[in-house]
Order: sequence, then structure tokens, then C-alpha cells
Amino acid sequence: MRDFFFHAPDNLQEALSLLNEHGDDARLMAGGTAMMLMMKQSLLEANHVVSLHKVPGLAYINRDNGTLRIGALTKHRDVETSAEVKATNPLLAEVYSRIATVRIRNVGTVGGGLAHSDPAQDPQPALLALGARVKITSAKGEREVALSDFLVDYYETALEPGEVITELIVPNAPDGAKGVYIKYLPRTADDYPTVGVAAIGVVNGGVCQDVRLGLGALAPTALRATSVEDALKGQQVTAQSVRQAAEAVADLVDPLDDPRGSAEYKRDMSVVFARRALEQALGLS
Amino acid sequence: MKFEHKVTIPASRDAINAVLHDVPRAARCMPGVQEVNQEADGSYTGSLRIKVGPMGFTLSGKMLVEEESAEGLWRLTTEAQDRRLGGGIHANVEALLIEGASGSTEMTMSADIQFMGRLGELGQPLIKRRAESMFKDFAENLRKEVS
Repeated sequence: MRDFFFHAPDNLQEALSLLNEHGDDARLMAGGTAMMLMMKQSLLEANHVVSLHKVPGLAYINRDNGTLRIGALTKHRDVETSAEVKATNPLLAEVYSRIATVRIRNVGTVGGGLAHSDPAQDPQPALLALGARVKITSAKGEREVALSDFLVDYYETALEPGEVITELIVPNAPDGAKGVYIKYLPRTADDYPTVGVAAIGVVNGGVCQDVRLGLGALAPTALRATSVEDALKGQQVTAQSVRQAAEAVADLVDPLDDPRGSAEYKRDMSVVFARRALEQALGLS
Repeated sequence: MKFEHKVTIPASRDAINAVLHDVPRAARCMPGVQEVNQEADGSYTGSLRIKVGPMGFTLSGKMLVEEESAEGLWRLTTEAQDRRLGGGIHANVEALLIEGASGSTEMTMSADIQFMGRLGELGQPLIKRRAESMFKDFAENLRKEVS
């Protein structure tokens, strides 16, 4: 790995100043779990690494009027084990518990994970299904972006130069909802999934009142299958209606060939695991 | 990795051939090309920068025009390495120009690219996807250059 200058600012303003000073030569580091691997593999180069580990006030989980506000430097493990998260949004605790290993979850941060923007990350399908938003801070001020707009392409986000993710805002699931995350991984339990599917469903009197479906590892970014959701909403929930809706997932995905499976295989599996997740979320299994 | 892309260019085959014959000019139509120089043996050396999010791959190497015909068939081979990451590519590229009745020309570009070494191991899935869009951009930029 090439030598670089390591900066450890004491506050966010100082971090923003360093980003502005060094421009493209600077990389922001939160937990560093993905970034250090990429730098060691020479996939990523930086002359200046600006670490946020001394910046105070960005690690918190607060309940706020039907949403959870999670500071960007909150560790994955803290989301997974938070009594507040488990009580108000158990699907969120579940997806953060599925990231890699406990050692990585104790170091990796919520904001760092969002900035990394690998389409196979575990939380993103559920975060999309929950309608999460990302708060971004720069020297110019703050802005909020829907996660669906924040995720742009493989490893690309809507972050502009000089901007820092400061908060993840996650609305609670609708009342009476059941949330499910299925991580299909034929290799080891700590790997990225071949297919990751999150589903949220509300059923009343056998009719689908609400349903959300998020897909991971199947396109340049995690994505929400709104056309599948629309096909199910207001309909009687039957094995056939769910199967038929899930089949449409194949037309929404655009996976890559990689060691976790061929594009064709992932497309086939996307239908299988979307169906299983929907069946569970809608109370059919 | 193989792919094909077709584009219709509102110009004669001769006009397109003239741009392609000026290799440094044609190379500028490819996004990420940083420099192209002609060598004494008739080949061209240069480098190409491919960005995928925060990651960058720089392929430096040699390109040889194997066939260039007035009938609009171009064949070229390229070998290039990413020295920082290790590994590289070998590519065979073909372009076929077919003049239509309306004065426009259909260009069909096909490429067969092999990845080697660590570039293949770490960057292949991402570069594959980006390469296809780069060839589409090249065809579009060439259309603008000729039009």
C-alpha cells in the first residue's frame, strides 16, 4: 500500500476543511473496514486519509416521531443490539446483524457502509423498503436525500465533493407490518449475499394492505421493486398472486457475473427468494 | 468477454473512414483515453483511465491496426497493463461500416476482451460493465465528430 497522510480532525468542521483543502486527493474514513481493504489491494488510492474517529457527536440512535435517527458513526453492532431499534424497527436490527462478522460490525459504521455503496450490502434492501433518507453535511449546510436517490451506481453515491454523511433517517415500518430479510449465500455466512431480499407486508382480512420489496446484489445498486409492490397491493393474498408477482422481479434485475454466481443464476434466484420473502412477509409461510 | 454495439452515423463511409484513419483523433472519442502516440513500427501506444466509483484503473499499452479497408472493415488488437494493480487485458476489436441508401452509415463494433492477472480477479466484473458503456460512448462521440 502506498504511503499517505493520515488526518484525525477533532470536529466535523475541521474534517470538512480538510476535505475542501485536499479535494480529490482526500478520502474520508469512518470505520475503514472496506476502504483499507481496497487501499491494500491498490483498488483505491489516496494521498490524504481524513479519519472521523475523533469527531464527536455522530454516534447515536434517537427515536423521533415515528422514525429512528442514527448518527453516521454509529457502529453496525450498535444498531444490531440496540433495544430501541429492536423495539421499534426489528427488521433494521436484523439486517445490521447479518453484515459480515461481529468483528467487522464492531468497527464498521452506518455512514461508512452507505458511502461504500456496494450493491450487495445487507442493510440497503430493507432501508429502501423502509423509505430511509440520508442526511448530508458540507461547508454549505445540510441536505437530505432519499436513499433511492443517494445510491447511484456501483460504488457511486450522490455525495458531492466536500460532503459528509452525518445521519441515517429510518421511518418505522407501518403498524402491523411483518418484516423479513433473506440472505442467500452459498459460500460462507460472513460473505456478501448472492441475492439479498427484504420484504415488508401488512395483511388485513386476507388482503394485502401494504407491501414493500427491496433487492440487493442484483443490479448496480440495491433497488426497490415498486412494480411488484403495486401488483400485490389491494389484492387477495394467495400463493398464486405472490408467485406471479415475484416472477416479474426477473425483469427488474441486472446482475453481474461474479464468484457468487453467474448473472443468469442470480436472475433465477432473485425470483425464488423474492417469492419466499413475500410469502413470509404476507403470512403465507 | 464479448459484446457488440451498432450505431447509425449520418455521414458517408469515406468520411468515417477518414476519422478512423487518424487514430489519435478517433481515440479521443473513447472516454478515458489520456494519450495516444504513434511509434516507429506503426503501432500506437497510449493509456486509458477507467473510473468505477472511487476506484480507478489505468491501462497502458500498445494498439495495432491489423486491417483497414476502404470497404469499411477495421480490425485492431490491443494489449495493455495496469501496473499498479497487476494484470491487464488483451482485446480484439472489429468495426464494420455499411453505407445505407440515405447517405448514412451503420457502424457495427464488436469486441472480444480477455482479462489477466489481478485486474481480472478484482476488477473484471466492474470493468466489463463499464467497457460496454465506453464503447457506446465512443460510437456516439464518433458520430458527433463526423457529423
